[in-house]
Amino acid sequence: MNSLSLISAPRSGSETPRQPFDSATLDSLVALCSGVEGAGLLAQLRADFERLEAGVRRCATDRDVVALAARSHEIKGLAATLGAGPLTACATAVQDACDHAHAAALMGDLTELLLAEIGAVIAALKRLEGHDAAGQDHMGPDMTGPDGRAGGQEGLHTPDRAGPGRSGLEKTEYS
Amino acid sequence: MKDATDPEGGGLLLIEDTPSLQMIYAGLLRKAGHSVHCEATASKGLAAFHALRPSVVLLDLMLPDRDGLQVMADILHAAPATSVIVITANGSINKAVEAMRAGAHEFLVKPFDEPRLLAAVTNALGASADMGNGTRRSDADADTTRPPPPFIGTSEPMQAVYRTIRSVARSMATVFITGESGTGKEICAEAVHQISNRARGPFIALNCGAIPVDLLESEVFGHLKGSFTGAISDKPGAAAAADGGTLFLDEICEMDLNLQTKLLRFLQTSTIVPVGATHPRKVNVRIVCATNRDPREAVRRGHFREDLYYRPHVVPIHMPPLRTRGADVLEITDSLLSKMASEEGHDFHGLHPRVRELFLRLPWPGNVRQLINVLRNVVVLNRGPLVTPDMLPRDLLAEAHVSELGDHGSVAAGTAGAPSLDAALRALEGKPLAEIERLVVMAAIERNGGSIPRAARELAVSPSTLYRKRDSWDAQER
Repeated sequence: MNSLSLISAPRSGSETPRQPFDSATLDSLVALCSGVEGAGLLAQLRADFERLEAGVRRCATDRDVVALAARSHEIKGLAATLGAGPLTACATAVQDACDHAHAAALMGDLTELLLAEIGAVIAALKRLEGHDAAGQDHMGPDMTGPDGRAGGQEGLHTPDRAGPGRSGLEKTEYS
Repeated sequence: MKDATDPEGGGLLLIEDTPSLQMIYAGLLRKAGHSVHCEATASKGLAAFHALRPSVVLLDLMLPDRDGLQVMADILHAAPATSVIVITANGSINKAVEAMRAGAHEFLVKPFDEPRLLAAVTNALGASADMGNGTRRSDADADTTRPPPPFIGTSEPMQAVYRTIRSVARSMATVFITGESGTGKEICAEAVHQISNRARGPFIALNCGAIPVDLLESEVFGHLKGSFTGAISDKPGAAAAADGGTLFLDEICEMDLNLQTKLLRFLQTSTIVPVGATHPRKVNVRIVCATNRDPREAVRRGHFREDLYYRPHVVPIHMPPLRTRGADVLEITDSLLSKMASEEGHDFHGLHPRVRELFLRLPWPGNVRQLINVLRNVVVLNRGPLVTPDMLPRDLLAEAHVSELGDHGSVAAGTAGAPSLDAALRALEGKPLAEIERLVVMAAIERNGGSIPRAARELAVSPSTLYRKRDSWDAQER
């Protein structure tokens, strides 16, 4: 299990918001996806993290360890790709806890930490989207459609949407 | 642009259920000129596979509606020439190992970068094109009973080795070779390299047991000038030198535990950090490891990291000892004898019948390496034309005598259940000398009813020696 010392809780108050992922990595991903796919990458990342955040909350409420392990696994892969070290460590810790029966007691605290880290990532992505909207773009003009779905997604196929009112491409929660 | 449906272009199908990762991977591949079709579930992915018949599939292991391994099994059942690149997060290593054994071309651990993904796809497209066009490397589709060069011998144990080597040819899977000293582990590693799509790349061999601990990190990962006393210039290291090819790490169980941690990181991330450097560097290397020890025993004793054992232990190959290879000893002898005779300018063209019979009976504890040394000795010191018993080294004849004693002992004693010396030796096959010593001492103590002084008398050592050894073994057990 990863050391919890690797996991730092998001700061609050008037401090400068912590960047919970590696900006250079995100910049390179956005640059990499420049053009059709890249147009909605920030929005899509935010949508994915919001979906996963909701999934984790649901698992915690239902005390569904199996589903929580799956969510944590997905978060881990996505966070690592984004260079979000604390979130990766936190998701790894939750997944490890889910895989070990003795860790049920730890799960509550770890899940709270996980949700806090996801929240920090979502907030940072929103800030970046705000910068983009103000013209300091990572990826050109906002191509998010009126329904919130990231634009230019031709060729991308995802599972059916969980419900209305969610932004970005979504996948069905299987738990 | 290479299209997913174009048989010439190879084509890619990406099955990944996280939309943003799907976007990132697809963007990366399209930027490199590939046409990629994306799906997010197993059912839609399989439907797309049957409709498009892509030659390469990038497959996430954890899909929402079905296990990725089952999807891969269906794909390979329908089209065995398809190259499946498995994508997984760190926690899925065991599944990834399972995937490689089930026929995956390669697995990528998230997060991976652009060069790593593109190298995997390029290799996979090459492998699939070769399979599809029937132009696969000659060794891979050749008569499967013919040994891949430079192997000699057609015995059944070696056929199994050849089959495994051929089956990993189209894969990037890490290979872990075990076997006694002198059985040809490095030759096996070379054969794996030569038969693979990396044959044009470098093959770099490094004996971890032969390099001082202090220098090993620098030998593997390189160093920068001035990073330590004596580092008078930059040195690339074996991992960087093997970029695009194969890195063979021999005697891996002898590696220092601290360095094992760094090696594990290298295996997981494909990045190296030379001594004195601050930034990691990506390399594209296939790893082949070997040891003459029992790696599981080394793990049990704490000499070898368990996670490092599982990481490269994707495709294990056990090199059989020469004494179990039957007539291979004569095939190898015939081949080497003419070659050595030519090199030395002597006229040897075969073995005397008694020598042939003797060679078949010898235990060959040093395996093929011992056979080569014996033949070289004979050819250098004699003129020919036949190798006769009197030309053989005396220590080899002594081994033959011991072997005969063993055989006769079992017959002469006639005691039901009494093992012959040969059988006793075979029970110790593959065990390190230290372990053999432990077994012999413990057996002596048991034979003497647990009395260490009596066991010491039997073994002609002082009791304190046995007490000290037993304490040290107990400490290792703990």
